[in-house]
Amino acid sequence: MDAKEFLRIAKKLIRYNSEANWRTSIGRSYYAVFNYLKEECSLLNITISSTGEGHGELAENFNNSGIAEGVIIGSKLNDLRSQRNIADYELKQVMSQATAKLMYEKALEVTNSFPSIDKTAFQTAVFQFRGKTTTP
Amino acid sequence: MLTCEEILTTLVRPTADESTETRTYKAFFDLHRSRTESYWESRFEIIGAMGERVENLIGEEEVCASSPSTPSVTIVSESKNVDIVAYEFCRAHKLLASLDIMYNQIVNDFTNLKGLQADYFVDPELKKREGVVFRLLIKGNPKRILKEENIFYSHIANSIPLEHRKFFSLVYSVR
Repeated sequence: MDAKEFLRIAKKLIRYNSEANWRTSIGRSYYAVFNYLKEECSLLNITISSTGEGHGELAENFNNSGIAEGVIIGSKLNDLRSQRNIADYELKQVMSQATAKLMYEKALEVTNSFPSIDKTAFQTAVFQFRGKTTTP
Repeated sequence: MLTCEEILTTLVRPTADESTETRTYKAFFDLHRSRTESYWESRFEIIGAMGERVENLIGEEEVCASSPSTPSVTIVSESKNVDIVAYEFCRAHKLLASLDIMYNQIVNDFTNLKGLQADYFVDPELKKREGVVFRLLIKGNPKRILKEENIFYSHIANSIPLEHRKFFSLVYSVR
C-alpha cells in the first residue's frame, strides 16, 4: 500500500463532525509522512529500524542530512509525532477540527517537498552521519 | 497546570504574626530536584498574588515532596510561560540558550498567536525521546500558519545548533 493513502484517509476523517475522527486524522497524517519517508530512505539504501526506535532514527537522519530542506523535514516529522501523541494520549485537552486540518496540510507539504531534495547529497550526508555514529 | 499567581493565592498561608507591611509569601512548588539559591535569584521573578513584585523568595519557599496532589508550577520568567521541568531539562542538557531563542522566535514569527506554553515531554512510546514541546494556541487558516512556520524554521536554521533541534517540537491548538 502507498503510504500516501493514509493522507487520503486523514483528509476524509476531517470532514466528520467528531473530535475522535479529528484525532484519528492527525494520527494518520503522521503515519503517512513517517511511512512515506521511510520508504524513500529505503530506496536510497538507508535502512530504518522496524521497531519503535525507527521513528526517532528517521527524524535523526533528516536532522543530520546537511541539507536545509532535509533539516526542516526532520523538524516537521518531529512536530507531527508530538502532535500525534497529544491526539492519541492527551484526551482531556480539546482537539479542534482546525488543528486536524493544519496537520493534514503540514503532512501534505512534507511529502510534496521531499522529491525536490538532492537525493545524492542527502544519501551521502546520511551515510557519513551513520558512519560517525555506527559502532565499529 | 496552575500559574504561580494561582498557587500564591490558593496555597499561601500568611502566618498570624506577619504584618501587612512585611507580608511574605510562601509558595509551594512541585520540584523534582533541589534548587540553589543563586538559581532562583538569577533566573526568576515571582509575581505575588497581589501583583506585587516579590523578589528573593529564597529562604521563604517551602519545598514539598512530589505527590499527586501537589500541582506543577508554571513559572513566569521574563514574561515567558515555561514549565519548571522543561526549564530544568534544558538546563541539564545545556539547552537554555536554544530554549530562549525558540520561544522568542515563535512569538516573533507567528501572528495571531493567542498563547504559548513550553512543556517538558517524554514520548509515551519511545522513552528515549524527550524534550520540550511548544504549545501554540493560534488563530488562522492552515496555509497561513504553515507559511509562518516555514519562516520560523528558516530563522532558526542558523541560530539553533543541529544537535539541539531534536529536543524541540511545535504543536498547535488552532481556533
